[in-house]
Amino acid sequence: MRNDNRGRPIHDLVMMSGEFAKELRKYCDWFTGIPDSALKNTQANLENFHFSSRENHAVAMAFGSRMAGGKPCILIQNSGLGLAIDAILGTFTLYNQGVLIVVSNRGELEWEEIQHHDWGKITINLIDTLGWSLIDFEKEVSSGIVRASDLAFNENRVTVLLVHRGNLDE
Amino acid sequence: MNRVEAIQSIYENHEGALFIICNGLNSREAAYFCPRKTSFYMLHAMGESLSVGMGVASVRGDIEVVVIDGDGNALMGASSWTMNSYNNLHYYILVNSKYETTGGQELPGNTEWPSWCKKITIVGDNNKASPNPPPPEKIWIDTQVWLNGNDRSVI
Repeated sequence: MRNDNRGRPIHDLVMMSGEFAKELRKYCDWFTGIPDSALKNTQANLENFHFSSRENHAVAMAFGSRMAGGKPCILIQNSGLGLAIDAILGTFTLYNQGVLIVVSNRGELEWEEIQHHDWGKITINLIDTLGWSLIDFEKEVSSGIVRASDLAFNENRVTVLLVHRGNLDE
Repeated sequence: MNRVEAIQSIYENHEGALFIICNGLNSREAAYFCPRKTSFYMLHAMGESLSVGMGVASVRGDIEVVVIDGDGNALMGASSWTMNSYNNLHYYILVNSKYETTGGQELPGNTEWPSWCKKITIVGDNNKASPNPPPPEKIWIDTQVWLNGNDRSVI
């Protein structure tokens, strides 16, 4: 942990967003997502990025891209999992396809806004309950991206790459 | 026209296209009464057929993608409409003003659909039970074979 420029505790910076986007582009060729303050710089650095209006629609668009031969990556904050789950179960899981989902784990830190706190508490357990693959970006950094893409596109797993607040520059 | 007649007329208007058909009776009747290898049958994920079609169309600009939705599904997928900018995507809504698959719960009959939606009002039914579409593995493989050009036969 470190302190941000306002003196608040925050997770370690492990990669700049531009570099993170570059790494993702090595393994994925189609991107979608919903606006999120923790991922905004990454999203801005991705080519072939298709903004979606809701997380469930982002999932369905990503599934269509997978059907057409793409390697999709979805970038959302953890609260979006609430909308995304049924769409994932009804597309990627049902048709035995994989996808890489970059999830910002909002609400882990005490100073974050109260509306994020419940999601900060349940996200990891929820992913575990769903049986999805989970990779902690802070622990595995670049090798985690490689492993996540391998799980998604070679083993057809729904795979979450979990990014903690502070792991990327905002 | 009834649902099957509407689907067959859409097929005839878009030879050579890939069809994404929403879950529920649209997929069931299409798969049972007029099965085609060029149709991807949604089994779940209600409201997402338009978004799936958008994803396909974004990657495969070389083919026509046709989404066949119901009005109940279309209302659920509504917010994706604003993001649709794919010239190779056609969107049909079969309107019967109810959720027929789940027992006929009524929908508002005065919905004004965007101008680029092709609305077909359907009436009546086939009076025949239509089973669930083929298993997802078969649906996926048939679509992949067709999309990859290994077998471009329709039926």
